[in-house]
Amino acid sequence: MSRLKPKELFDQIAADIPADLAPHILIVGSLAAAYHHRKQLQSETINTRDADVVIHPAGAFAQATAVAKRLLDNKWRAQDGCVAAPTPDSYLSVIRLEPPDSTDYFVELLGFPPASQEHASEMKPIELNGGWYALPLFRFLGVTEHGRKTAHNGLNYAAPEMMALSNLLAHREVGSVRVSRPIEGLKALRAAKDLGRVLALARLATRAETEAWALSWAAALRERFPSHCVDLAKNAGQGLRALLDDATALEEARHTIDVGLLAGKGVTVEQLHATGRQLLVDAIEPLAELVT
Amino acid sequence: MNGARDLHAAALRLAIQLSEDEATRAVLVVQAPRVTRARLESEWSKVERTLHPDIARRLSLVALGVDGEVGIPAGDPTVAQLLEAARSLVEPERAEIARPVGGWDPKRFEVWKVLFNAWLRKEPPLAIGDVARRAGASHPTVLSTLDRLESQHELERTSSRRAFLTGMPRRSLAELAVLAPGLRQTVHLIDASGRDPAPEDLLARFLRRAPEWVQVGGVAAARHYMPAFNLNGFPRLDVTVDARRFQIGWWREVDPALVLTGPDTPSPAVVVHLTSSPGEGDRYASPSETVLDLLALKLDGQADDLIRSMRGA
Repeated sequence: MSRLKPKELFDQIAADIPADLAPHILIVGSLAAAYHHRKQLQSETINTRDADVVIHPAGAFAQATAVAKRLLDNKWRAQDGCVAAPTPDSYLSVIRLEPPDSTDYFVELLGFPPASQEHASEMKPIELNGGWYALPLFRFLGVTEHGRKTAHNGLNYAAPEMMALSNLLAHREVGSVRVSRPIEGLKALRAAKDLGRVLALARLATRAETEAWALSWAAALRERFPSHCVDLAKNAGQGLRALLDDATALEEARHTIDVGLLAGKGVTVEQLHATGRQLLVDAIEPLAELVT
Repeated sequence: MNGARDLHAAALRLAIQLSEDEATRAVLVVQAPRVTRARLESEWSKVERTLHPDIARRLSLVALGVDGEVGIPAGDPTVAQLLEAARSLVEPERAEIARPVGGWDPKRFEVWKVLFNAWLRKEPPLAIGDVARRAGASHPTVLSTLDRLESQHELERTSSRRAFLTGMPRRSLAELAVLAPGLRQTVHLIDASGRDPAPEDLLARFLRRAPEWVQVGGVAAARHYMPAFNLNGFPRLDVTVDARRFQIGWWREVDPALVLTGPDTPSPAVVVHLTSSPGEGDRYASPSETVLDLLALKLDGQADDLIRSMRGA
């Protein structure tokens, strides 16, 4: 897997995404986290090929199509496996596009979920160049609109604490669902990957910063999920607690972190467990007390 | 733990972990102030009989009961070490009998700290009974300490059976600064998360969350007593704890990632000093403890500055 610097990747995306569509772009995921913490990670490169790009606001499907079309017009290529379906009822591929002269990374387009979405994930069919593709809508990704950050080149990206909240909300248990593509040989549990990301984000922040997460989280939950905020706040730590109690899953989380956001830092399972205990006390328990 | 049920539950949790890791050994260390030694042994025997033999042979017990201690298996060196460590943590009074050093022992050291503290705070001469009460020491121990200091011309007694240091006790301070590592009961904690412990943040957390019998010492206390304290940064957090109220694991109330580590661990996040002369309920350790903390940190110049500042020199 090639390694790129987060700032360079942001610049490359900004150069390739049409300027008039840039306001609709929100970078999330490991790239956003690595960019935000690039000074702390210093000159280290990011060990990811996946630049998750959320097209917002909710319902901006025309804009999503426009972004994809413009990239394709600029000679971006659909990744292997990303193929057009003949009808919206067919099995639909997620849109993954590689830049014209590189296989170092790809952009995956996601949709911004409407506030009314109840399912954890939905696939919105969108038509592109005569074929049909899926635009994933993840319910809890909606919190990433809160506290959006702006990069040096004007691109928006999600605040780390909101990405952490999104992942916490998405997993109330460890479960048995695994990622579709192996991560350095391991088809990790999806919950282990996502909750491992939460622990990585907590480790990159200072304790003072994580202690401030609860306030931001409370505001995001009240605004985004006014009817469900109390239940969501109360159970935000359920999945993380389950992960901490599951040695095998926690080891998988460690593996995904070790080849991802905290590559090369040699974080141990014991250190991750301690980080999780700290996050519960610093942010997750206070969140339940704030939102009642 | 309060009884057999707690013992069984704790043993089961460890057994589950052992079942998932063939290479690991586990030792359950418990303080059971309401359970007899015989009951601890009997209940452990039930645990061992219930578990798979492969798990049972990798699980050991160190327990301090109401009438004695239990180490199973007997004769195991790791169990013996942990038993000694547990014993010294919860029974500091026993340590003092075993460890006279250079003519000083932990109780006489407490007496000296009380006197030094009174001198730093410019208090009037203290009654013998007052010294004994503050130090948690017996009258004979107090009197023998006063005799020693008087023979070194560092102390005088009044006609009303009160005592005071006549000036800066340079000789005894120099002796005790060297002997302090052996006289002060100290516990080291690290942050198991491996993250930068950020002493300033840790201090704020201690001030907010630590039990009221935990006092902040070291550089933080020095800054409290002397706002112009001359030191950039904050090397580590020192705290002083009333030995009579000490319980294993209290630090997890402050930060759930703090764990015990050995005395040779470089750069502990927190150094905990046990004392039986904790002072009058202040959030900060006494000036005498603070001076000793600074000397332990090799901040001799800053310790001198603090002494001069307290005395108004």
